[in-house]
Amino acid sequence: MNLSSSEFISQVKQRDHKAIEYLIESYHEALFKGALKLKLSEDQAEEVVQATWAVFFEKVDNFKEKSHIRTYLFGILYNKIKETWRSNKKYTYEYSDSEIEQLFNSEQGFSKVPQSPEAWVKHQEFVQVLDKLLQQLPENQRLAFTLKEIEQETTEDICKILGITVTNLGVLIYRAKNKLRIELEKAFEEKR
Amino acid sequence: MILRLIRFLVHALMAVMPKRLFKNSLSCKEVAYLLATEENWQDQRLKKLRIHLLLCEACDNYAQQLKSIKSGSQKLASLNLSKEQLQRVAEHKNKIKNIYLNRN
Repeated sequence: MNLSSSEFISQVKQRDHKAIEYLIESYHEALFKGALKLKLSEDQAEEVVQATWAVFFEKVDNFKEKSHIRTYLFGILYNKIKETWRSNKKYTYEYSDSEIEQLFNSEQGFSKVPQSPEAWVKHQEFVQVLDKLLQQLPENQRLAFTLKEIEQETTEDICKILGITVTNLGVLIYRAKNKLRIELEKAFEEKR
Repeated sequence: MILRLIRFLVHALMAVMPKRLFKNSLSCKEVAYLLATEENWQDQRLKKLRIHLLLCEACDNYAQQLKSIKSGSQKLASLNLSKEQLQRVAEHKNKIKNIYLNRN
């Protein structure tokens, strides 16, 4: 079965048992993993995956095939994850534009020269620190960064999943990366 | 060391030369955005970007920082489920299948 074919999609819309079974078989584990990667507990991951399937089967008749069915499914999943994050209130700070503006002086040069990251990379805790900082980003920045840099989704798919324009995605990624590097500088300054 | 010396000389030269001579070059702010978003690097901009990175230590460090973040992020990409987790996923998958296959 070809998951991206119009024939398969119409079989799913007609609630064909084989197509539904194949779809769930193909994506259930990936959805669960996607939720775990975004730091949901196993119980929460099960809940969001179940909710994702519920929304999918409720709305699949309206699916216009403008994107791959996987993109559509993961779009629902990430929205459910955002709802869970909100109820967890896990992220701690919002990153304002002024913080970025302060990075540069009136001549558009860096106000403070960024450190060489040599010390970060050598540090054995680097990936753990990065992972921790990533969890503290505002939800849209965190999702955009995760989809782009960790899941390595295409720009087009990320925009469809998050319902944003390419320009908006660029701004989210720019802010996320700057926040991460500023916080990494602080973290490894302290560890010296 | 040589690169530092070249950068120092270029900066000293830029400080005394009229600004209009550099009006087509990219600022650090523009370079930072281009490096972070990695999109739309047209040929003309790419050349300017490379020259800027060669001459500017701040942006060079910034680029290295982003590279480190990227490589660190890629290490977060793999997630292998344990036996127990795989068992749990399989049971949950069957539950979901039962819901949607029996409903229709």
